[in-house]
Amino acid sequence: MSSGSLIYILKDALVNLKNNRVMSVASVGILTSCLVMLGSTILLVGNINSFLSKVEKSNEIVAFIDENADEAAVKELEKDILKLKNVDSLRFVSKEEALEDFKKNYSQWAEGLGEDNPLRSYYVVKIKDINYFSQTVYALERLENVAYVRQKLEVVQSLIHIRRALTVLSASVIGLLLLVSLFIISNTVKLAMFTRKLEINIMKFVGATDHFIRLPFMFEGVLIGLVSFAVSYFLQRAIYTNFLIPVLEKLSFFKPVAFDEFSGFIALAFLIFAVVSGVLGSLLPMRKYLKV
Amino acid sequence: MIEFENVYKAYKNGTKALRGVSFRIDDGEFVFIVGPSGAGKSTIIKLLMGEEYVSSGEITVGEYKLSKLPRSKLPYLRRTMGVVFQDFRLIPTKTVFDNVAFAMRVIGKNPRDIHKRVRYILNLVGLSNKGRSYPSQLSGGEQQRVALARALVNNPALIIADEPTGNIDPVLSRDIMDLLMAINEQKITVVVVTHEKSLVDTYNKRVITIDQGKLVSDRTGGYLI
Repeated sequence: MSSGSLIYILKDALVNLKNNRVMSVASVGILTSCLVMLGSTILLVGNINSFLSKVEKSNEIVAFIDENADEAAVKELEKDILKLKNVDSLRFVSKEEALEDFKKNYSQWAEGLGEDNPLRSYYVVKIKDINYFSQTVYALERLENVAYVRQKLEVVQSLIHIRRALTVLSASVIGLLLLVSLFIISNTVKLAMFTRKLEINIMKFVGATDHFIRLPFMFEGVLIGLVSFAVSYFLQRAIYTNFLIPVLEKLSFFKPVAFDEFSGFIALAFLIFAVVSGVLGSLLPMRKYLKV
Repeated sequence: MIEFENVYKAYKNGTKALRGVSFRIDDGEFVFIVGPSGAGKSTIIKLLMGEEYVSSGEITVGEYKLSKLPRSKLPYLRRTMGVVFQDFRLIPTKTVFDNVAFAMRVIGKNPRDIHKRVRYILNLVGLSNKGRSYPSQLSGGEQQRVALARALVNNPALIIADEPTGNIDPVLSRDIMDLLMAINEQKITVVVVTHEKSLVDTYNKRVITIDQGKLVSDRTGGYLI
């Protein structure tokens, strides 16, 4: 395609936008709203994921050591535990330390113990990936000199379920927003095509290719997408920083993630979403008008 | 060269628009296609432009066989012809110059060639001083001249005029017809579809008469029905 044609097509797309400015502004507005909703979903899921990761890190399995294990066997057990794939780190607690802890936390029961120490030594095992929690517990239970394992499988499973539900929810929200955006942009382009039905008709009978006719409308969709991308990115930053972070900070157990940690991902997601909606939204309504 | 070989055309609603029509138009000819409303004249134009496909038979336009012409090749067929309609089909928001230039722009011609060629064509149709006017500022005859300029601008081998004088008064109709005759003298094939008997009778040219989808006469001079 010659540079003259390209300039003509670009100019044509801008004229289209100007002539249909009410619909164009409405499209930018609605697409921007969709993108801000998308961004808010991403930020919400991101914050919850960050929270879950912290919970994961504090999630520990306690492996109690067999009372008959001597010092060498306990050392050997430490090596065996560290060999397990999903183990991040471990901490040894002797039976004396365990008793101290017990006395501190449950003083009313400790008095009845006298000089006896019925507690076992144990290892506190931190895992890397919560998804392999039950496998790690199973592996620990099978190790020699491990008497039994204490774990909070229910809590872990709840966390896994929450994360999965969030993933499904955010994918559904993104899908729904994409459909809304496609509908809006395709309507704008449909209107532009309708108002330029005569021009399209003339283009067809003087021998313009479908590709040439489509391009200005496609550019129009892409331009709507790009403007929406720029507006929504800065709007999202402002909303998150000035409104959402202060609200999230009020939750004492929760430390919100800074926008900058997500900025690259959000910019990329917005750009892809906006351009894909723009291109698809403008291509969908064309078939009818090109069939001349 | 245009050739219709035993062409049948039936629409989806069952209307049989053409029934076994055959004729041949050589390069550089001037031909009227006449007939009453609903005779099948418009169908002939639609078939020539590739807007519709034949139900059976074959149409040849230059190097193109239209019965099996893929959609992707249609633009290239259409670049070999210029079409003029009864309702002019000018873009009201574009000037006369831009309406004519539009036909060159959309097939990717470069701006310098467009400028030169459009000025030349507007001069040819007698509208060199109307380039900056809008269609609404022109008379019906002038608007048809713009449409004719647009049809000519890409240097086609064939001009198809569908009722070109249908919307203009008799005096201006003669002007348009004279212009089409002048174009034909440049060895451009001209096919004029009309139902105006007086117009056809004025010129001693070949007349193909269609009625109820059939070719009823093909002779030189005069309207048969």
